[in-house]
Amino acid sequence: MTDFDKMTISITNLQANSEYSVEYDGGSVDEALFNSIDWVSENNLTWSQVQTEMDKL
Amino acid sequence: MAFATIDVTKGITGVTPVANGGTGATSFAPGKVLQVVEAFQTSNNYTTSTSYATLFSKAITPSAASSTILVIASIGYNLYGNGSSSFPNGTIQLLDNDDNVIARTFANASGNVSTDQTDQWNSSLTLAKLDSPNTTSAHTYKISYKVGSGRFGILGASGGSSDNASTITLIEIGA
Repeated sequence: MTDFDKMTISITNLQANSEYSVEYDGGSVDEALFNSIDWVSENNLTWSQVQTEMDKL
Repeated sequence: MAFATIDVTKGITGVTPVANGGTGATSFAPGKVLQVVEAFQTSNNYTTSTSYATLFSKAITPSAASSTILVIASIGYNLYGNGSSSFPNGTIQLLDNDDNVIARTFANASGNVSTDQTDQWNSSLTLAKLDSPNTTSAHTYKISYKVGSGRFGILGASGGSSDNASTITLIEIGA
């Protein structure tokens, strides 16, 4: 499981039914990537929350 | 013996038979492929959205209103269970200039083997449509996508190379 996979799974775990699109070409999975997400549904998550969830995977 | 120079713009008629290495043809119709243009997706894009979003497009300006446009899209994709789906799937659409759907295809994974729904699938699909835009104005064809379940990605150029990117090719065919 890549860090990118961990990020998208973490978003699902923390905020079920999240709808968004994101461009990712294999670079760092970090706050800049998280902030680049184009949300279709409402987002109430922070990068810190997602990062904590990613560390559990 | 020296040959005299032949002026081929004057006084040469007739047909060279096939048996003598000729074509046997008395005339040729103009070529039917009038132009070819192509675009490719420059990045990998992933969605968990069940609403369509346009990813990339290409415009063509037909040289005659009577021409048809053969649209061929080759789409590389990634399906991922995303920890939530045993059967991730997505849909890809080909749209014309007025956003009418002129072709649609579906990407489906056959089911996660892993119990945590984190299997990945990479593959490709092709959409093709012969369209008659009946115009000599620029006409844009678009690729849009959405997820059905899990996470759906459309693969673009990796490392700047278009060799393995999703592409759309537009071929103008003369009437």
